[in-house]
Amino acid sequence: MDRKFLTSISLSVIAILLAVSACSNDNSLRKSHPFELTAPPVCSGCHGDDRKLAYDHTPDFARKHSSYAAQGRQICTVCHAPSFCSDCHAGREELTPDMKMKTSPERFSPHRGDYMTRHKMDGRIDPARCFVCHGRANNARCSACHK
Amino acid sequence: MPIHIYFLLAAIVFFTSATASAEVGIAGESRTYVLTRETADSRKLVNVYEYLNLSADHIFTDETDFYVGGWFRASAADKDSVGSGSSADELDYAYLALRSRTGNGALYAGRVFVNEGVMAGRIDGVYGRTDLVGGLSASVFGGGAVKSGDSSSSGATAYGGRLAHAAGGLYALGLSYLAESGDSDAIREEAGIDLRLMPWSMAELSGLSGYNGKQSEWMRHSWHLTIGPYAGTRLLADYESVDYGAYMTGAATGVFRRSGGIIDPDEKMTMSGAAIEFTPSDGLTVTADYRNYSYDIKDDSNRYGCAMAWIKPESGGAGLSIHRMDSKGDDTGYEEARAYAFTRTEKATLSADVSASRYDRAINGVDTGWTAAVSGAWSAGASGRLGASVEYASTPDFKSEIKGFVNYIYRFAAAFGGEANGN
Repeated sequence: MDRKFLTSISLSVIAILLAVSACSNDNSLRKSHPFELTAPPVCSGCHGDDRKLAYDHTPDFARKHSSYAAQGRQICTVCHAPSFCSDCHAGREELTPDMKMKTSPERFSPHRGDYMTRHKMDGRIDPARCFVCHGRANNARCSACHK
Repeated sequence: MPIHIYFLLAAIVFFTSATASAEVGIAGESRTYVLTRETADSRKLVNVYEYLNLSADHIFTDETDFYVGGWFRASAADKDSVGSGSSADELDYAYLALRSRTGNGALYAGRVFVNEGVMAGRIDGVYGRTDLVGGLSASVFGGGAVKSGDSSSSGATAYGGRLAHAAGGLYALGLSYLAESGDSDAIREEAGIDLRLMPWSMAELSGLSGYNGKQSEWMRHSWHLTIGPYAGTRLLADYESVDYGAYMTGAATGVFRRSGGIIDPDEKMTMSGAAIEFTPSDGLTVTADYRNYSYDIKDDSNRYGCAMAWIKPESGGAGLSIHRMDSKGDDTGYEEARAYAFTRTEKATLSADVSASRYDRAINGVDTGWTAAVSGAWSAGASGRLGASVEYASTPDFKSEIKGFVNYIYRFAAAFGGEANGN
């Protein structure tokens, strides 16, 4: 289908959604948190209900953060600027996340150490984990060898 | 379009809005990285990266913002480290955001990252979402799919959406759809179901199952269960099932392609694993984990090990881990160990990170590899931070490799008639 047509359709549907949103009686989430939080945030410390409890950044948060991001972008953006996501989830990136986080060794990053060698094994064990980030985008480094 | 044109357009938007509105706030972050390393053929490389992120609040209206971010790289050597020329750039995002005061409604227009169920990628187009009635919410997106290595759209069109229902703190259930088509035919047609279920506050099930509509097959199930903490102990369980042929469609890299790649499209992998995480005192975590990888074609693999970390994010910490990947038949087994420590104050951070690997099969005649990195970062003025890192590696590919890394991060904000929002 024609891209302009699809974009127009999408825009029309979104306009309807926004109109519905404007009629809501519930206030939107704040655009930004009223004060800067220290990492890792424990949302349940102030927000007692279960739904927000799930956004506590527990040690295993990196393992399942995609579920939260897919379901609650509007919650993530209260604290995180777009660049926070794009540092790892980029369309094209030459610096691996661990290079940008050298002084934060406690943060999860799959490329630490001798990953140049290890990726040959991990890529055969579970290529889907590579494909998530490097399958359709962010593969400039991959395509240097994997044409 | 070259990246500097986007930033020029952004500057025009910023300053036009600044003159049209009395409360525009402009904030940004400049990150400059200098990376030096030596290649296998003894060439010295120096790459300079500039990452620039800008945001403007209250453009034209109180609820309208603009975000733009991207990077540029120049190489002070014949060729850069990835062999793609003496310079490179990428526009990561550039979009106008219009938010509703009620109902969590939002419209994003421009280059924006969409993460809605089966869709996790960037589009040049429009993306909106809102809460509906009775716990329902909806999102819709459409535009050109942004592909790797190209600052413009690939020519493919992507559109779809997600309808979700949330019941208080009990669950959030979503149904999503994505269609991506090229000039003449459909590249992807996918549907998904995502769920976060919290039957009680100490248990959570979350994940996504995706269905390939073109091949009429489930392509990936990825689910996580967390139970606890009870007496400082949490149980983490993971399940993943992937049909390679159904999941890895539309691949841009040869390694994943159905023909000519090294991934067998007929393979199906099922991973099941669990971990026990014990927190005996605040900041101290001890974890033991196990994962089994089972395949239709390839022999099974098992990964197991343990880790210990003591973390006080604002003052310092240390961690230690050791793992074994036990594989049969295809030389993918290895052992890895890692130790790190860091100390952090308001003004400075120092860290050290050492890792070692032993491979079941020697590569280039070498069956071990290790790396050691020392890093530091210091406040430089009220808004700046200067960092430096040196990493030494001895691996099957490099007998001896030294990487140097220097970075300077500077944050700035300006308000026109009001306070800038630095988020």
